[in-house]
Amino acid sequence: MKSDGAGVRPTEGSLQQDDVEAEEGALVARLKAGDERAFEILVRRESGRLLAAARRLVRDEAAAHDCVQEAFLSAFRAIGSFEPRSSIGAWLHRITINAALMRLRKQRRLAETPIDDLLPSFDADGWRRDTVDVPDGDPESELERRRVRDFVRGKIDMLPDGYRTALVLRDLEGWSTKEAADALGIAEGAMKVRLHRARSTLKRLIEPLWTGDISA
Amino acid sequence: MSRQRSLMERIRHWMSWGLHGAMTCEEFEAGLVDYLDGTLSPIDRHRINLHTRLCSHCRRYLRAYDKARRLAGDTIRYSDEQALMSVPEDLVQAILAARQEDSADTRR
Ligand SMILES: [Zn+2]
Repeated sequence: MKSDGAGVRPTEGSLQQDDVEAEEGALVARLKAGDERAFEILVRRESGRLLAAARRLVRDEAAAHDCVQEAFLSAFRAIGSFEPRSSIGAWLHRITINAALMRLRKQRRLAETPIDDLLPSFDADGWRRDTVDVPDGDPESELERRRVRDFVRGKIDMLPDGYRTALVLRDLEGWSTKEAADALGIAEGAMKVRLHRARSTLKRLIEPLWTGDISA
Repeated sequence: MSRQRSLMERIRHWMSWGLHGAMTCEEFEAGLVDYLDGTLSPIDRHRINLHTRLCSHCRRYLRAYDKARRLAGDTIRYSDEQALMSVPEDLVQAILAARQEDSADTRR
């Protein structure tokens, strides 16, 4: 039972889990021995997932491809020191994210460029001015769900790189504040502020969805 | 704050403050990331909980904030699933070619 492309991992049955681990161990052994065919298997198995991870951070498609390629090459060069504490997929994932962050840092794209008027506003005493009501429930039809996704996607893409990166690392990759702060080269406090601004800005951008101000 | 305020305004503010869990909306906002991470001290956590219960504005705000996070997560994960369905063959080929070149370099 090889799972080449889809990356479906069995979640139940210890026998299956053992199979997967044994398969993974064998693959790592072949990689360490310099088996080119094993490298191709790995590339075909992991590229989709890694490309998705890179695309979340760098929006340019060619740059996302470069990140994945860089990740595979540096992983392969370092394969001798790979210790199967985590899966090789998770290892590659981490390397890809770092490659993407490095790229953004080099381009100095990570500086915070706040969209000020989208941040929450308070009166002089610190009381909130504007809030919207989120309607209950989720859209029922697939058409409506797609409309929501397209809308949200568009808004995520509008976020400055610094905000989007904070959101992706913390809310999607599940990194801690410290990990994300270290990766971005900023202090933990600044990381929290940035994350909060990113979430607030996105919320404001998404609000028309709830107030009915978007044309279908 | 240098703004001149009438006594009435100040009284209203402090009453409001007391009625909102001894916390302004701005203070609530500042603690939100730690609150959601579960890293606030028990006392601060309690104050945020209290403010959420007493302030309808922040209650609505928190709901929208949370919903926006969830929608962003769902949307990105959906894009990821789409991406998994078709791995660009040109990318695979480019990686394999780069690998060939790379190992030729090391052997040299
Ligand atoms: Zn409030």
